[in-house]
Amino acid sequence: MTINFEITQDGYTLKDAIVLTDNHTFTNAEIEAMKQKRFDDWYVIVTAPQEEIEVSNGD
Amino acid sequence: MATKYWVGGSGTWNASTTTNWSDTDGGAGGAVAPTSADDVIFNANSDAGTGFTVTINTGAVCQDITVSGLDQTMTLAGSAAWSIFGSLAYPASNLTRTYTGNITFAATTTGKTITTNGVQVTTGSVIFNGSGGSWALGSAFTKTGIITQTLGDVDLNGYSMTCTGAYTLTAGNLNLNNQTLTASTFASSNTNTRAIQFGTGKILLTGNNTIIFNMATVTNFSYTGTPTVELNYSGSVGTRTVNVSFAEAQALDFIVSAGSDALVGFTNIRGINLTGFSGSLTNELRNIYGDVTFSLNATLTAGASNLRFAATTGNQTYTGNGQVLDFPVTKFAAGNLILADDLLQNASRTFTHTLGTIDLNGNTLSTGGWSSSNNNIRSISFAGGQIDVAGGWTVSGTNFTTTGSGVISMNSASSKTFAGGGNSYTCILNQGGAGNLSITGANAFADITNTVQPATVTLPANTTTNLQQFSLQGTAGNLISLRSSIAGQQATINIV
Repeated sequence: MTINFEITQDGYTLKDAIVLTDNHTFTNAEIEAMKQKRFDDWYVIVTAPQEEIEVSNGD
Repeated sequence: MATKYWVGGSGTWNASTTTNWSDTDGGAGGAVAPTSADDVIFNANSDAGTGFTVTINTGAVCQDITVSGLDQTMTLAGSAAWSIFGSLAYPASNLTRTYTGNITFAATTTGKTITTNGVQVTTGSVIFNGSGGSWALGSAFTKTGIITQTLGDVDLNGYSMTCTGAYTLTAGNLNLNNQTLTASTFASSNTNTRAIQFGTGKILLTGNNTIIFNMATVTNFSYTGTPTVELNYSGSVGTRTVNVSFAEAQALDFIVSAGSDALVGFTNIRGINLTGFSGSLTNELRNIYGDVTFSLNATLTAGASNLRFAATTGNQTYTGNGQVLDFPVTKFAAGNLILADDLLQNASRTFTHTLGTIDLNGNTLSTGGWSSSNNNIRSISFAGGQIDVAGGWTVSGTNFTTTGSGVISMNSASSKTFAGGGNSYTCILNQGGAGNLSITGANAFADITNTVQPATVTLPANTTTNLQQFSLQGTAGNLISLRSSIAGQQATINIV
């Protein structure tokens, strides 16, 4: 089963899905915690200070 | 094509080691290692009663990889390159990754899916490189480092896609599918056939102090949807360069939503929106095909290079937010320029009307001088708006018209000329400065007025000026002088 979710904070929106087996044993609270952790982990990455970047032309 | 099951707990996945591969679920190891045609499965029968590590080593390939139903923690480790020719499905729990190698998604057929379920697949590079391949996300895709789309089609399929490095689109379709692709920079500068399907999605670029967006070569690039690229770096360090050379049909919208650094480029783009930006933008020749929204907090560097409103069809909206443009501005092509608020130009700069309609929309356009000398179809729609001219007005040639009521106010304190080109103006011509206003051409106006006294208005000799009203008005001791341009030869006013 696929649980789609969307969380927005400070203008950043994560659209993600938790994909579980049909016989999973996660409680609703555990799934909600999973969603928040997904967002928190993503938010750290998406807002991290930039490294020096080498730019390619895409060719 | 076969299905290979991982068994026996920890081990190495490479091209030849057979220890951990079985041809049956939970069966004995010793099967031939998977080829690019074989699916691989990791499940509750893969461990040896405790957590286990699968180390990706040289030659690891597979068709689909499915990790599901783990009852022990599985760690994907290693740093060797890994090629996946099919789909990838990770579970929401019990899978961790320390793997840092480069992953190539190498499918050459359509219909592949990538479901990472919150697991970052690698901190190395991810490369989509399969002629004829296509991959749709089954959940958000997030990684540090870069993503390169060399061949094949990528579909975000309703989910976010994020990388902290560059996203490079070399060829194929990038279907944002109404979602956001976040990357530090974006590059697609080549001649390969490639396209971005934006829908209502956008490319969000977080980087700074480099070439943020590089499409210097745009041959064979196209897009669909609303083409939004947002730059959201919020600091003050360095220069963000947008290096583009779009033709009108290819041009993308750029939003700079934050930052107090320097911006360079943006030379041939659809729209530009600097709301939220408080740094500087260089003065360069810019062909803008879409809407322009400036920020009063931004510094638009003064210079001699033109801002061109260059749409050939449709409407372009200008929102200045009080910004004074200290560079030339040209209404350059056949589309409509609509002012959403005042367009304010430095009194030393000229507004050139080459082609198309300028709709003041009830707002004020102030300029140092007005120039429109050609035979192109040009129109000014006043709609109650006003043009304040600090210098002279020059219109000549055919195909120039005006519509609606409004005002052209000649405001210079020095002598100035309104060279009307013999046209019928639906607006009022106002003498708004102390210097002599000299009118040339057999023009018509709704009225001639004045807002300063004393003042002089010189009409063209041997020429009839048609007016609906004539409202020049002096005061006691501050008279209005009305003259003909040639002494002894009449200028005629005809009230129609």
